[in-house]
Amino acid sequence: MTAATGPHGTSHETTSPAVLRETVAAADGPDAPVLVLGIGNELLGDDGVGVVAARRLATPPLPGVDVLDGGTLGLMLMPYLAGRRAVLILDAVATAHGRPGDLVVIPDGDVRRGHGVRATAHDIGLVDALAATELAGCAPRHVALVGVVPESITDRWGLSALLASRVDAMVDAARAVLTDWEVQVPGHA
Amino acid sequence: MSRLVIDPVTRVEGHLRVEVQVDGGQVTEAYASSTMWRGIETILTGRDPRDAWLFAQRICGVCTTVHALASVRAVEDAVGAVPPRNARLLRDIIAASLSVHDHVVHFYHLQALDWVDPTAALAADPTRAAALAQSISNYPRSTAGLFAAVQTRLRVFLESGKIGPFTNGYWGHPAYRLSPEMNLIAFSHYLDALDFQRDYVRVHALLGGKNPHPQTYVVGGMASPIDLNSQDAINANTLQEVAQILQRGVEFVEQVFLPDLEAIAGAYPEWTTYGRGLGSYMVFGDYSASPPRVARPPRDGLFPGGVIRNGSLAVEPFDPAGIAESVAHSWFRYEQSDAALPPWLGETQPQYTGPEPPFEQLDVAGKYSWLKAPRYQGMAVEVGPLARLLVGYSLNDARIHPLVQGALDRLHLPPEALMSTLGRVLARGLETRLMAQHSLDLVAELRDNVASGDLAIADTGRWRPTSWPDGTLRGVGFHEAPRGALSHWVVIEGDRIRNYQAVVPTTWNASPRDADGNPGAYEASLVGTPVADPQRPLEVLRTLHSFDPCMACAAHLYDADGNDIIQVRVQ
Repeated sequence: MTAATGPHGTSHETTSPAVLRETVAAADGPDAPVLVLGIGNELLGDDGVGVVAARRLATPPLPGVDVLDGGTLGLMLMPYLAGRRAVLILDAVATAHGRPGDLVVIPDGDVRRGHGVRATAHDIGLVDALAATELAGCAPRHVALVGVVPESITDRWGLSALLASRVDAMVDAARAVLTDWEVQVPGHA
Repeated sequence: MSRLVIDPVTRVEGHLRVEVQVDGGQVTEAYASSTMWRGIETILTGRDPRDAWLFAQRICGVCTTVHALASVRAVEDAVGAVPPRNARLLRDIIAASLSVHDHVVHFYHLQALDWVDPTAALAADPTRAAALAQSISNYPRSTAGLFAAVQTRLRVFLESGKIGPFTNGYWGHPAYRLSPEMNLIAFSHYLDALDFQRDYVRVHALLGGKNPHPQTYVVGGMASPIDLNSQDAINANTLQEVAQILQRGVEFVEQVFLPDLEAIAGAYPEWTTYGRGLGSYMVFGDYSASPPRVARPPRDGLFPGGVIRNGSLAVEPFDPAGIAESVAHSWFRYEQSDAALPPWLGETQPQYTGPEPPFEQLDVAGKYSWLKAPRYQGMAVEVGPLARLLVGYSLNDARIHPLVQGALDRLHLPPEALMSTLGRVLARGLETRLMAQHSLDLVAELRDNVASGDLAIADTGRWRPTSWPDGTLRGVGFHEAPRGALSHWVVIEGDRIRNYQAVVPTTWNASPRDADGNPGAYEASLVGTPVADPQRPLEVLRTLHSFDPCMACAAHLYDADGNDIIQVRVQ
């Protein structure tokens, strides 16, 4: 059980509502070969950490990479996954992966089998969506997940102070995965 | 007598828990509970009402757009902003196409698996499958060669062990009754539905931005400029591309979805006698060309509004003042008394009295759900596609009546048979046909209106709070969302939100009992459902899934193996 602070816990407005007005995706057009998908519900505190990290990663935009706020769409995300060369998921992960704030990078096979993919209900839907792309013959060749263990998942807009301090580390880990996938990440070796 | 606990019941996961009493092979009592605190309204209190939709669209994981729409409508109603015709058309196109997408995904990915056994398709003869498919539809992808290839793909997939969407099925259950050939056809169409989905979702991207969450709403209209000749706006090319995709949607629904649905309906006729439930229905009405009305749903829409009592097929007008929410069996408390409250006076104060999770059983004599119990003039009602089609059918609506009558004739069913588990499934499919065509019609209307020189996309006259009326402002936004009647209620004081309440379709349908002990729609519809094997309660799932349950907001943690559930403490 995580240390929930209850619905009226301290709020840290790491993302202001104004940010929500900006579209985090690159310009409209054909899909980029690589997709970075932030997953989670920002109305549930640390559950939204993947979405916050995705937004930060997208500024400035990376060539050849679409960064999307996948929210908790689960199975409905299948069309966005289909036909990509690689998909990187940013998400909160189960407490079994460590203490709150711990960072994990989960490799391809484990993501597709649902290992470590947790948090909101809809992420099992995400595993199903990946399986559906396989069945349909349009599965991404590479999949990975960068996750962080949440401190509190509860009715609150914004991350806990601990998780807010981990977003940069999450983004760095995401950039490292993208570099492994031979994506040109400015400022990253 | 034994009590069956199904938790969670949706394949998209979620946090609906249903406890069902089984006696003599059938359900005698049912209780539906949301086991996750849903107090998201409290996050909105004190905020700028113009930002409300940005938060509200996150209320539900699956239905983001519908909450954005209901929310901007509520605030517009409160401050007196009137979105221009282009904005209303654009919103309706986005909402209608989302409905089509949602219904198709729900059917093929979630609900069909209650009726279709993909493992049985391995025994099918592809040549006979092709003959059968060609006898029920002129869909071109119905050849023996294609079905043989699909069968091979299915075999490889099932043998791989990573069966994803099929993991939790009760395969081989005696309640599956389609022929191997029909199972193969339906599975083949499941694959085609994946392609359909990839194509159709582009409508959303073309009109709403690439992000799956809409970015283009604004109180007073839409933020996307529209001009047939501009490169920096929704233009003639955009609309033509959208129309082409929507046309393929009409074809998919006509040639694939509806024939499959009617084939399934024909194979399970007894399911028109199970799952009736309340027999009372409520529709706000929506998709109207008319301008919005103050504090009421729009008139003369694609879906007429109305209320049906006790299966009468007589429709009375819907009155917004009839809505109030009881918390007698919900984990909330009201300040003054236990009396049901209308949404503008609604309160969201949690009072958890349930057992510490994980627990064996709910205490159904007391409070047992995180959902309130909304009632219409004190009456429990069902909302959703079946409600919409029954109201339209009973009012002899020019579009809805012939559509419904045609299906009834082909299946040799009386109208009353619609009030059932199977009727609910059928209604969703028929409504998809209606929405697919309507979205296409709306694109033509939008193109014509813009071509006539009307480029207005937002009413900015009420953007600044200084332009708003003085005093306390109340607004309500109604929308007929995929799962039913949705309303957002806002009270504004001093430019800030003082109260916000969302009364969502699944709260109507999955509500617990009210102060008078009246069950909600799920609870009522399960009573009488046969259960052949309590270890594999497929029949219970059929009725529950017929409502298209959508319990989002579930902070449900899974362990590293993806199956052991960790409950997040709710309060």
